[in-house]
Amino acid sequence: MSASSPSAPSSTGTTAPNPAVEEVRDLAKDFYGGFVPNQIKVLNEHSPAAARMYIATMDLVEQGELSDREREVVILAISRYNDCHYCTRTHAFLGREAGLSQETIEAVHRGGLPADARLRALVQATRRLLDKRGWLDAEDLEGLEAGGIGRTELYEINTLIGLKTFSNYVNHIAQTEVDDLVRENPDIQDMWPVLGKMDW
Amino acid sequence: MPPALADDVRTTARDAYGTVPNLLEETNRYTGAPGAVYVAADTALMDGVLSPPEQQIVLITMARYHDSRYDAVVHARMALEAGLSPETIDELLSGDPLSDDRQQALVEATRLSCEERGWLDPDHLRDLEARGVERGALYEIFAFIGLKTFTAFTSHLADPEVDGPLRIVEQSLEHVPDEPDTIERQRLFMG
Repeated sequence: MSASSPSAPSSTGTTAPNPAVEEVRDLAKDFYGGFVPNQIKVLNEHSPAAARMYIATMDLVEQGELSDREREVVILAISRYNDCHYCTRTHAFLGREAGLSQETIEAVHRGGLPADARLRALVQATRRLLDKRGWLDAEDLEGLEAGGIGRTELYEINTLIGLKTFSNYVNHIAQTEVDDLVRENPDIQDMWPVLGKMDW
Repeated sequence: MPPALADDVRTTARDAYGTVPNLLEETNRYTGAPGAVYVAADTALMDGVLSPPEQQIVLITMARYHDSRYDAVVHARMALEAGLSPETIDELLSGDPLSDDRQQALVEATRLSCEERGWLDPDHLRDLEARGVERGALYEIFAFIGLKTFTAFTSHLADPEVDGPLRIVEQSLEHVPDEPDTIERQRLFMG
Protein backbone atom coordinates (compact mmCIF):
# COMPACT_ATOMS: atom_id res chain seq x y z
CA MET A 1 0.00 0.00 0.00
CA SER A 2 1.57 3.27 -1.07
CA ALA A 3 -0.30 6.02 0.70
CA SER A 4 -1.50 6.72 4.17
CA SER A 5 -5.01 5.98 5.30
CA PRO A 6 -7.25 9.05 5.43
CA SER A 7 -6.65 9.72 9.11
CA ALA A 8 -4.05 8.53 11.57
CA PRO A 9 -4.66 7.95 15.31
CA SER A 10 -2.45 10.13 17.48
CA SER A 11 -0.62 9.06 20.63
CA THR A 12 -3.45 10.51 22.71
CA GLY A 13 -6.00 8.30 21.00
CA THR A 14 -7.60 11.13 19.04
CA THR A 15 -7.58 11.21 15.27
CA ALA A 16 -5.14 13.65 13.72
CA PRO A 17 -6.43 15.58 10.72
CA ASN A 18 -5.05 14.24 7.48
CA PRO A 19 -3.72 17.07 5.30
CA ALA A 20 -4.87 15.27 2.14
CA VAL A 21 -8.44 15.15 3.45
CA GLU A 22 -8.33 18.83 4.40
CA GLU A 23 -6.91 19.78 1.00
CA VAL A 24 -9.65 17.94 -0.85
CA ARG A 25 -12.31 19.55 1.33
CA ASP A 26 -10.91 22.99 0.47
CA LEU A 27 -10.70 22.08 -3.21
CA ALA A 28 -14.33 20.94 -3.16
CA LYS A 29 -15.45 24.16 -1.49
CA ASP A 30 -13.67 26.17 -4.19
CA PHE A 31 -15.14 24.09 -6.99
CA TYR A 32 -18.69 23.81 -5.66
CA GLY A 33 -19.04 27.36 -4.29
CA GLY A 34 -18.49 26.70 -0.61
CA PHE A 35 -20.48 23.47 -0.54
CA VAL A 36 -19.07 19.94 -0.19
CA PRO A 37 -21.42 17.39 -1.82
CA ASN A 38 -22.07 14.20 0.11
CA GLN A 39 -20.48 12.13 -2.65
CA ILE A 40 -17.20 13.99 -2.19
CA LYS A 41 -17.42 13.51 1.58
CA VAL A 42 -17.96 9.78 1.08
CA LEU A 43 -14.98 9.50 -1.25
CA ASN A 44 -12.75 11.74 0.83
CA GLU A 45 -13.38 9.70 3.96
CA HIS A 46 -11.72 6.64 2.41
CA SER A 47 -9.65 7.89 -0.53
CA PRO A 48 -8.75 11.57 -0.84
CA ALA A 49 -7.03 10.66 -4.13
CA ALA A 50 -10.27 9.37 -5.62
CA ALA A 51 -12.14 12.44 -4.38
CA ARG A 52 -9.52 14.74 -5.89
CA MET A 53 -9.67 12.80 -9.15
CA TYR A 54 -13.43 13.30 -9.39
CA ILE A 55 -13.33 17.04 -8.69
CA ALA A 56 -10.40 17.68 -11.05
CA THR A 57 -11.81 15.68 -13.94
CA MET A 58 -15.34 17.06 -13.71
CA ASP A 59 -13.80 20.52 -13.86
CA LEU A 60 -11.87 19.61 -17.02
CA VAL A 61 -14.76 17.92 -18.76
CA GLU A 62 -16.70 21.17 -18.45
CA GLN A 63 -14.09 22.69 -20.76
CA GLY A 64 -15.05 20.29 -23.56
CA GLU A 65 -17.10 20.89 -26.68
CA LEU A 66 -20.47 19.76 -25.32
CA SER A 67 -22.58 22.57 -23.92
CA ASP A 68 -23.68 22.45 -20.28
CA ARG A 69 -27.14 21.12 -21.09
CA GLU A 70 -25.75 18.58 -23.58
CA ARG A 71 -23.30 17.29 -21.01
CA GLU A 72 -26.01 17.08 -18.36
CA VAL A 73 -28.37 15.09 -20.57
CA VAL A 74 -25.57 12.61 -21.31
CA ILE A 75 -24.79 12.31 -17.59
CA LEU A 76 -28.48 11.72 -16.85
CA ALA A 77 -28.63 8.96 -19.46
CA ILE A 78 -25.55 7.25 -17.99
CA SER A 79 -26.73 7.60 -14.40
CA ARG A 80 -30.15 6.20 -15.27
CA TYR A 81 -28.48 3.35 -17.15
CA ASN A 82 -26.58 2.48 -13.98
CA ASP A 83 -29.59 3.26 -11.75
CA CYS A 84 -27.68 5.67 -9.54
CA HIS A 85 -30.11 7.18 -7.01
CA TYR A 86 -27.70 10.01 -6.17
CA CYS A 87 -26.57 11.06 -9.65
CA THR A 88 -30.02 10.88 -11.27
CA ARG A 89 -31.28 13.37 -8.70
CA THR A 90 -28.18 15.55 -8.50
CA HIS A 91 -27.92 15.87 -12.27
CA ALA A 92 -31.64 16.45 -12.57
CA PHE A 93 -30.97 19.49 -10.40
CA LEU A 94 -27.86 20.49 -12.36
CA GLY A 95 -29.65 19.76 -15.63
CA ARG A 96 -32.45 22.19 -14.70
CA GLU A 97 -29.80 24.79 -13.86
CA ALA A 98 -28.17 24.16 -17.26
CA GLY A 99 -31.46 24.72 -19.06
CA LEU A 100 -32.90 21.23 -19.53
CA SER A 101 -36.68 21.13 -19.31
CA GLN A 102 -38.49 19.09 -16.71
CA GLU A 103 -39.98 17.02 -19.57
CA THR A 104 -36.56 16.19 -20.99
CA ILE A 105 -35.23 15.06 -17.63
CA GLU A 106 -38.30 12.97 -16.88
CA ALA A 107 -38.15 11.39 -20.36
CA VAL A 108 -34.57 10.25 -19.76
CA HIS A 109 -35.44 9.02 -16.27
CA ARG A 110 -38.32 6.97 -17.67
CA GLY A 111 -36.03 5.39 -20.27
CA GLY A 112 -37.49 7.42 -23.12
CA LEU A 113 -36.02 10.11 -25.35
CA PRO A 114 -36.05 13.92 -25.26
CA ALA A 115 -38.17 15.76 -27.84
CA ASP A 116 -35.29 18.06 -28.82
CA ALA A 117 -33.46 16.50 -31.80
CA ARG A 118 -29.93 17.29 -30.63
CA LEU A 119 -30.53 16.06 -27.08
CA ARG A 120 -32.30 12.97 -28.42
CA ALA A 121 -29.30 12.14 -30.62
CA LEU A 122 -26.92 12.53 -27.66
CA VAL A 123 -29.00 10.22 -25.46
CA GLN A 124 -29.24 7.66 -28.28
CA ALA A 125 -25.47 7.77 -28.79
CA THR A 126 -24.85 7.34 -25.06
CA ARG A 127 -27.16 4.32 -24.80
CA ARG A 128 -25.71 2.78 -27.97
CA LEU A 129 -22.17 3.06 -26.59
CA LEU A 130 -23.23 1.52 -23.28
CA ASP A 131 -25.34 -1.21 -24.88
CA LYS A 132 -22.51 -2.26 -27.21
CA ARG A 133 -19.66 -1.61 -24.75
CA GLY A 134 -18.12 0.84 -27.17
CA TRP A 135 -18.05 -1.47 -30.19
CA LEU A 136 -19.98 0.71 -32.62
CA ASP A 137 -19.96 -0.56 -36.20
CA ALA A 138 -20.07 1.41 -39.45
CA GLU A 139 -23.86 1.35 -39.50
CA ASP A 140 -24.05 2.73 -35.96
CA LEU A 141 -21.58 5.49 -36.80
CA GLU A 142 -23.40 6.39 -40.01
CA GLY A 143 -26.73 6.63 -38.19
CA LEU A 144 -25.29 8.77 -35.42
CA GLU A 145 -23.47 10.99 -37.91
CA ALA A 146 -26.78 11.65 -39.66
CA GLY A 147 -28.03 12.96 -36.30
CA GLY A 148 -25.03 15.24 -35.91
CA ILE A 149 -23.04 12.99 -33.60
CA GLY A 150 -19.42 12.72 -34.69
CA ARG A 151 -16.11 11.86 -33.09
CA THR A 152 -16.05 14.97 -30.92
CA GLU A 153 -19.32 14.05 -29.28
CA LEU A 154 -18.52 10.33 -29.05
CA TYR A 155 -15.14 10.91 -27.42
CA GLU A 156 -16.63 13.29 -24.88
CA ILE A 157 -19.52 10.90 -24.19
CA ASN A 158 -17.00 8.12 -23.57
CA THR A 159 -15.19 10.38 -21.13
CA LEU A 160 -18.43 11.07 -19.29
CA ILE A 161 -19.28 7.36 -19.28
CA GLY A 162 -15.98 6.75 -17.52
CA LEU A 163 -16.43 9.45 -14.91
CA LYS A 164 -20.04 8.64 -14.15
CA THR A 165 -19.45 4.90 -14.04
CA PHE A 166 -16.97 5.67 -11.28
CA SER A 167 -19.34 7.88 -9.28
CA ASN A 168 -22.42 5.70 -9.93
CA TYR A 169 -20.65 2.64 -8.52
CA VAL A 170 -19.40 4.58 -5.48
CA ASN A 171 -22.91 5.77 -4.72
CA HIS A 172 -24.31 2.24 -5.05
CA ILE A 173 -22.18 0.82 -2.31
CA ALA A 174 -22.02 3.96 -0.17
CA GLN A 175 -25.78 4.59 -0.47
CA THR A 176 -24.82 8.24 -0.52
CA GLU A 177 -27.49 10.50 0.95
CA VAL A 178 -28.87 12.97 -1.58
CA ASP A 179 -27.78 16.50 -0.66
CA ASP A 180 -30.43 18.71 0.99
CA LEU A 181 -29.84 21.35 -1.67
CA VAL A 182 -31.06 18.86 -4.28
CA ARG A 183 -33.71 17.05 -2.26
CA GLU A 184 -35.45 20.25 -1.19
CA ASN A 185 -35.50 21.84 -4.65
CA PRO A 186 -39.11 22.24 -5.89
CA ASP A 187 -38.28 20.90 -9.39
CA ILE A 188 -36.79 17.77 -7.88
CA GLN A 189 -39.74 17.46 -5.51
CA ASP A 190 -42.01 17.51 -8.58
CA MET A 191 -39.93 14.77 -10.16
CA TRP A 192 -39.80 12.66 -7.04
CA PRO A 193 -42.77 10.47 -8.01
CA VAL A 194 -41.05 9.68 -11.33
CA LEU A 195 -37.76 8.92 -9.65
CA GLY A 196 -39.51 7.01 -6.90
CA LYS A 197 -41.23 4.68 -9.37
CA MET A 198 -38.00 3.49 -10.90
CA ASP A 199 -37.37 -0.16 -10.41
CA TRP A 200 -34.23 0.05 -8.30
CA MET B 1 -12.11 23.53 -29.07
CA PRO B 2 -9.87 25.64 -26.85
CA PRO B 3 -6.43 24.75 -28.34
CA ALA B 4 -4.85 25.48 -24.97
CA LEU B 5 -6.45 22.37 -23.48
CA ALA B 6 -5.06 20.08 -26.21
CA ASP B 7 -1.66 21.76 -25.88
CA ASP B 8 -1.71 21.19 -22.13
CA VAL B 9 -2.49 17.52 -22.72
CA ARG B 10 0.53 17.15 -25.02
CA THR B 11 2.86 18.89 -22.56
CA THR B 12 1.64 16.94 -19.54
CA ALA B 13 1.67 13.64 -21.41
CA ARG B 14 5.24 14.18 -22.61
CA ASP B 15 6.31 14.97 -19.05
CA ALA B 16 4.48 11.99 -17.56
CA TYR B 17 4.91 9.32 -20.24
CA GLY B 18 7.80 10.62 -22.36
CA THR B 19 5.52 10.79 -25.39
CA VAL B 20 1.96 11.64 -26.37
CA PRO B 21 0.19 8.26 -26.64
CA ASN B 22 -1.54 7.65 -29.97
CA LEU B 23 -4.93 7.43 -28.26
CA LEU B 24 -4.58 10.92 -26.82
CA GLU B 25 -3.27 12.26 -30.15
CA GLU B 26 -6.45 10.93 -31.72
CA THR B 27 -8.85 12.47 -29.17
CA ASN B 28 -6.89 15.73 -29.23
CA ARG B 29 -7.71 16.08 -32.94
CA TYR B 30 -11.35 16.60 -31.98
CA THR B 31 -11.46 17.73 -28.35
CA GLY B 32 -8.91 18.33 -25.60
CA ALA B 33 -11.22 17.25 -22.79
CA PRO B 34 -10.69 13.45 -22.90
CA GLY B 35 -6.89 13.74 -22.83
CA ALA B 36 -7.00 16.35 -20.09
CA VAL B 37 -9.28 14.14 -18.02
CA TYR B 38 -7.03 11.13 -18.54
CA VAL B 39 -3.79 12.75 -17.44
CA ALA B 40 -5.45 14.52 -14.48
CA ALA B 41 -7.04 11.28 -13.29
CA ASP B 42 -3.80 9.37 -13.68
CA THR B 43 -1.92 12.00 -11.68
CA ALA B 44 -4.49 12.16 -8.87
CA LEU B 45 -4.69 8.40 -8.45
CA MET B 46 -0.92 8.04 -8.10
CA ASP B 47 -1.39 9.23 -4.50
CA GLY B 48 -4.05 6.66 -3.75
CA VAL B 49 -4.12 3.68 -1.42
CA LEU B 50 -3.42 1.19 -4.23
CA SER B 51 0.28 0.69 -4.93
CA PRO B 52 1.57 1.02 -8.53
CA PRO B 53 1.65 -2.79 -9.10
CA GLU B 54 -1.87 -3.09 -7.64
CA GLN B 55 -3.08 -0.32 -9.94
CA GLN B 56 -1.67 -2.16 -12.95
CA ILE B 57 -3.41 -5.38 -11.88
CA VAL B 58 -6.73 -3.55 -11.96
CA LEU B 59 -5.92 -1.81 -15.24
CA ILE B 60 -4.88 -5.00 -17.05
CA THR B 61 -7.97 -6.75 -15.73
CA MET B 62 -10.03 -3.97 -17.28
CA ALA B 63 -8.16 -4.18 -20.59
CA ARG B 64 -9.05 -7.86 -20.72
CA TYR B 65 -12.64 -7.26 -19.62
CA HIS B 66 -13.15 -4.78 -22.46
CA ASP B 67 -11.05 -6.71 -25.01
CA SER B 68 -8.87 -3.65 -25.49
CA ARG B 69 -5.62 -4.50 -27.26
CA TYR B 70 -4.26 -0.98 -26.94
CA ASP B 71 -4.84 -0.78 -23.19
CA ALA B 72 -3.49 -4.28 -22.64
CA VAL B 73 -0.17 -3.44 -24.30
CA VAL B 74 0.18 -0.05 -22.57
CA HIS B 75 -0.49 -1.52 -19.14
CA ALA B 76 1.62 -4.61 -19.70
CA ARG B 77 4.55 -2.25 -20.20
CA MET B 78 3.61 -0.17 -17.15
CA ALA B 79 3.12 -3.31 -15.09
CA LEU B 80 6.62 -4.47 -15.91
CA GLU B 81 7.94 -1.06 -14.89
CA ALA B 82 5.94 -1.31 -11.64
CA GLY B 83 7.60 -4.63 -10.82
CA LEU B 84 5.03 -7.24 -11.84
CA SER B 85 6.52 -10.34 -13.42
CA PRO B 86 5.87 -11.33 -17.06
CA GLU B 87 4.19 -14.48 -15.67
CA THR B 88 1.73 -12.43 -13.59
CA ILE B 89 0.94 -10.23 -16.59
CA ASP B 90 0.32 -13.31 -18.72
CA GLU B 91 -1.97 -14.76 -16.03
CA LEU B 92 -3.93 -11.50 -15.90
CA LEU B 93 -4.34 -11.38 -19.69
CA SER B 94 -5.30 -15.04 -19.94
CA GLY B 95 -7.70 -14.88 -16.99
CA ASP B 96 -5.81 -17.41 -14.90
CA PRO B 97 -6.03 -16.89 -11.12
CA LEU B 98 -3.10 -15.24 -9.38
CA SER B 99 -1.42 -17.11 -6.55
CA ASP B 100 -1.29 -14.05 -4.26
CA ASP B 101 -4.72 -13.80 -2.60
CA ARG B 102 -4.70 -10.01 -2.18
CA GLN B 103 -3.82 -9.58 -5.87
CA GLN B 104 -6.48 -12.10 -6.87
CA ALA B 105 -8.99 -10.25 -4.68
CA LEU B 106 -8.23 -7.08 -6.67
CA VAL B 107 -8.91 -8.95 -9.92
CA GLU B 108 -12.18 -10.35 -8.57
CA ALA B 109 -13.29 -6.97 -7.18
CA THR B 110 -12.68 -5.40 -10.58
CA ARG B 111 -14.50 -8.05 -12.59
CA LEU B 112 -17.40 -8.37 -10.19
CA SER B 113 -17.93 -4.63 -10.05
CA CYS B 114 -18.15 -4.52 -13.87
CA GLU B 115 -20.44 -7.53 -14.11
CA GLU B 116 -22.78 -6.23 -11.38
CA ARG B 117 -22.58 -2.58 -12.56
CA GLY B 118 -21.27 -1.61 -9.15
CA TRP B 119 -24.02 -3.32 -7.14
CA LEU B 120 -21.80 -5.31 -4.79
CA ASP B 121 -23.86 -6.91 -2.06
CA PRO B 122 -22.82 -6.98 1.65
CA ASP B 123 -21.45 -10.54 1.36
CA HIS B 124 -19.16 -9.52 -1.49
CA LEU B 125 -18.04 -6.43 0.38
CA ARG B 126 -17.27 -8.44 3.52
CA ASP B 127 -15.34 -11.05 1.55
CA LEU B 128 -13.26 -8.41 -0.22
CA GLU B 129 -12.58 -6.55 3.01
CA ALA B 130 -11.44 -9.75 4.70
CA ARG B 131 -8.98 -10.20 1.82
CA GLY B 132 -7.59 -6.68 2.18
CA VAL B 133 -9.72 -4.79 -0.32
CA GLU B 134 -11.18 -2.11 1.90
CA ARG B 135 -13.44 0.76 0.98
CA GLY B 136 -10.69 3.16 -0.15
CA ALA B 137 -9.20 0.53 -2.44
CA LEU B 138 -12.64 -0.26 -3.82
CA TYR B 139 -13.35 3.38 -4.62
CA GLU B 140 -10.05 3.58 -6.47
CA ILE B 141 -10.88 0.39 -8.34
CA PHE B 142 -14.14 2.08 -9.42
CA ALA B 143 -12.12 5.10 -10.57
CA PHE B 144 -9.88 2.85 -12.67
CA ILE B 145 -12.90 0.98 -14.01
CA GLY B 146 -14.27 4.30 -15.19
CA LEU B 147 -10.99 5.42 -16.66
CA LYS B 148 -10.44 2.18 -18.57
CA THR B 149 -14.04 2.01 -19.74
CA PHE B 150 -13.49 5.43 -21.28
CA THR B 151 -10.19 4.50 -22.95
CA ALA B 152 -11.40 1.07 -24.09
CA PHE B 153 -14.57 2.46 -25.69
CA THR B 154 -12.48 5.16 -27.36
CA SER B 155 -9.91 2.64 -28.57
CA HIS B 156 -12.70 0.50 -30.01
CA LEU B 157 -13.80 3.50 -32.09
CA ALA B 158 -10.41 4.94 -32.97
CA ASP B 159 -8.44 1.70 -33.33
CA PRO B 160 -5.14 3.47 -32.56
CA GLU B 161 -1.84 1.89 -33.52
CA VAL B 162 0.15 0.60 -30.59
CA ASP B 163 2.75 3.26 -29.81
CA GLY B 164 6.14 2.54 -31.39
CA PRO B 165 8.15 1.89 -28.23
CA LEU B 166 5.49 -0.58 -27.03
CA ARG B 167 5.45 -2.85 -30.09
CA ILE B 168 8.19 -5.00 -28.65
CA VAL B 169 6.03 -5.50 -25.54
CA GLU B 170 3.08 -6.50 -27.70
CA GLN B 171 5.22 -9.09 -29.50
CA SER B 172 6.27 -10.59 -26.19
CA LEU B 173 2.71 -11.12 -24.95
CA GLU B 174 1.10 -14.49 -25.39
CA HIS B 175 -2.48 -13.34 -24.81
CA VAL B 176 -3.39 -10.01 -26.38
CA PRO B 177 -7.12 -9.24 -26.38
CA ASP B 178 -8.82 -8.30 -29.62
CA GLU B 179 -12.25 -7.44 -30.98
CA PRO B 180 -14.71 -10.24 -30.19
CA ASP B 181 -16.18 -12.17 -33.13
CA THR B 182 -19.70 -11.21 -32.09
CA ILE B 183 -20.80 -7.91 -30.63
CA GLU B 184 -24.07 -8.31 -28.77
CA ARG B 185 -26.20 -5.32 -27.94
CA GLN B 186 -27.56 -5.46 -24.41
CA ARG B 187 -30.47 -3.08 -24.68
CA LEU B 188 -31.80 -1.66 -21.40
CA PHE B 189 -33.80 1.29 -22.76
CA MET B 190 -35.49 2.44 -25.93
CA GLY B 191 -33.65 4.61 -28.41
